[in-house]
Amino acid sequence: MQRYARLSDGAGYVSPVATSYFPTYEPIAVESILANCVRLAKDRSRTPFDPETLAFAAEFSKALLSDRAAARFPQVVSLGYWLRATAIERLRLAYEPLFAQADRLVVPRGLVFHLPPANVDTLFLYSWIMGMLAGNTNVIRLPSALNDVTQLLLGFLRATATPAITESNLFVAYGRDDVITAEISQVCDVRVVWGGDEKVSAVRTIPLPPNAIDLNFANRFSIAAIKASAFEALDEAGEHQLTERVYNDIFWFNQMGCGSPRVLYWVGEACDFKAARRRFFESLSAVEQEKGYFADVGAAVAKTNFAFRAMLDHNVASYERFGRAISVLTLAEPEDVRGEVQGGGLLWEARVASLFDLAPALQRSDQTLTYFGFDRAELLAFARAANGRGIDRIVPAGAALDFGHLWDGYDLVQAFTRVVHIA
Amino acid sequence: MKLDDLIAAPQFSLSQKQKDAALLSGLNALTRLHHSRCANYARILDALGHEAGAPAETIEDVPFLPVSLFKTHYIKSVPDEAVTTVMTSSGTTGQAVSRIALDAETAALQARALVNVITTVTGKQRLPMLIVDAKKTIQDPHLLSARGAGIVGLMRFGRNHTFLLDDDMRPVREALETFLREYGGAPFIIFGFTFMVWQYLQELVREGSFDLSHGVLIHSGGWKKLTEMAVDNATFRNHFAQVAGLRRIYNFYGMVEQMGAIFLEGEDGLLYPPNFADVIIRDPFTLVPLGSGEPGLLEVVCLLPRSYPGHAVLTEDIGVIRSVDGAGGRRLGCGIEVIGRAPKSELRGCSDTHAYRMAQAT
Repeated sequence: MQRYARLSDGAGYVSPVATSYFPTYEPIAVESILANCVRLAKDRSRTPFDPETLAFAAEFSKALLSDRAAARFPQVVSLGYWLRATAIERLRLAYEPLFAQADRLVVPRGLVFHLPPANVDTLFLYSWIMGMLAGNTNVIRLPSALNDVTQLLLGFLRATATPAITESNLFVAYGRDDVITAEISQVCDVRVVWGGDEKVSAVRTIPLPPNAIDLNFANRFSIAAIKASAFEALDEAGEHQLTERVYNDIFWFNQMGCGSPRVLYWVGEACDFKAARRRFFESLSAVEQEKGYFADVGAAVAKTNFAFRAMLDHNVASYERFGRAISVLTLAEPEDVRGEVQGGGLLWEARVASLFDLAPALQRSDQTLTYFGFDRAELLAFARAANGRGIDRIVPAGAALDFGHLWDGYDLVQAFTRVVHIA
Repeated sequence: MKLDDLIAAPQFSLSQKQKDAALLSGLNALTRLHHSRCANYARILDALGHEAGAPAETIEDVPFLPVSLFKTHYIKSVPDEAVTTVMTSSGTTGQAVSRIALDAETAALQARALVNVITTVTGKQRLPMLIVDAKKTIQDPHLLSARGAGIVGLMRFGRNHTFLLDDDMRPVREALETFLREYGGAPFIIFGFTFMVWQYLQELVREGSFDLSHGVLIHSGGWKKLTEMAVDNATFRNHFAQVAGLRRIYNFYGMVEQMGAIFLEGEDGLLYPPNFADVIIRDPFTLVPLGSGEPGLLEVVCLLPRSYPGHAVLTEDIGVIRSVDGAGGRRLGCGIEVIGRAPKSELRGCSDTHAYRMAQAT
């Protein structure tokens, strides 16, 4: 504990350099960050789905969707759509019955401390917006080097924020400094950590106040399942539509987003598997060429190296490449291929007779199942068979990377609020 | 032509067409050999869909292994008791190193092959040899890296070995003076790693007070550090010619996974594979073979490796074929330039602090 008390000791401590990105963009003294956090922790002026917050979300969405610079970045456009007034209103309505129950009043938790990942440049905003919609004040710790997309988004934020938003949120970067993280942790009510297992474990050792909670989003592994008979039934247009969606799932974040599938399961008993998969991968490869996926040479080399290692370390029946970016390792039998992860278009592939065959081997770290060709009853039955072993998201092909208020097993609105029981 | 003949024949003497024909059957025989003796290799060939025993129709079709595989897996085609030497590559601390299993046969083949390549520039006689390195590099077993192994391998082409550096890696002026006083009037060999030759030998001779005109400089190890100093091969050669009269300079490209099959620089400054080896340039993304003038990943095929399946190895070096059958030079076959190492992958997961790279904007 001594280590974390340093800042409060006062005498002799030299304040490191930190940067405020919101409300203002300027250097900020660490003392000022902490003073602001203390102020934000005490501020209880907003309620869940506060009209002013909703109005801001709508404005922010409009700004993102009408800007030419923003239109170049698909992930920014997708954030803009997610935030548009009708979508947020739908979200509000979904919670209305729950919030209106007679035995309770839903209130914000207080100050949410967000530690977003460095690589998914829109995620910090999703995390923040969920915290804000629930009525909380927020402090967001940004990575020390920000890319163009992050900078662009912060610029929009500064330009569209209303006084209420300005007063209740702080975006800062302060480099690697556990002392500051510890100080902020001491005054927050929720700490949200996005990142790898190592980051989550490291932050976890930093104490929280006894009544505060941690929401941890660690490394995840994701898979896809295609019902072979449904795929076989597709005409050319349907096939193209599907592979375009799968392309987005895989290539948007270079297959490094947690929701991007790494294993593709072909589900079904009687089908011409060879013909189906060939058609699928050739179509996927054609989409990849159409879109002009940019891959770097280093990633291509790493992918080749990975594939050759995989042939010795796993029971790989075949290794095939399609076009410039797609490598497929076909497993003789489904087996555990979690662990070392390779992005940029490397897919494992296996056959199973039924979705149920996947359930026993699922693990807690399995996050998303993207699917094609299954009906709701089949998916529900699968989720029940898995029964919490793993898989927190079951979404159609094309939606692997779509952020939602249900994420990694959490209902984020609920996680960011408390329930006052009124009898 | 048989391997023995290819080794014994004057090097760089086969036209590309002759070479393709001479290498193909040998490479196919090696594919069969390793398929039958190395389970790991057979496993990979099966997954790649190569029929066991089915001969490749062109050299480009011979299945290859990426060089990195020798770093993560110990892959060999002889039983443990037949292994006489395990060669390891250099690597900075924490980096994986290659482990290459040599038996007596392959080691002998590689040694004989190396002799026939090196003597094309040094002559058959052993010459006095100046080594631009410290003696400790070959004495301390902890330091016996590829650099040490390379020196030991080359030392047998010389006699009266003199090390230019002391054990603190400082060039010793008196050592050079003594060596030249004794041997400088007749042919002698200088050997060292490219950047060390530039850093240390160049430092001593740049004022023009030494005459190296009877020397044959053989150097290797890559241009990365020199490129950072804006020194290219032409600058390197011109500089030594001007300040010390050293004109016989031969760079070579080689690796621990292909001992013996070094690509030796010709008069045109290009690197030439010997008779028993060849080069293929591949597109890094599709691995499709590329033509002359197109840079890509460099693959080395070679008839020497019998104890490990290294007869076709895809490196992580970027190279380009600049000429075929000697555009101007006296050598036949492919003349290549090695441009550098492929960059490391920049793709990182959620856990990494690196900024993620935009895949594309649609």
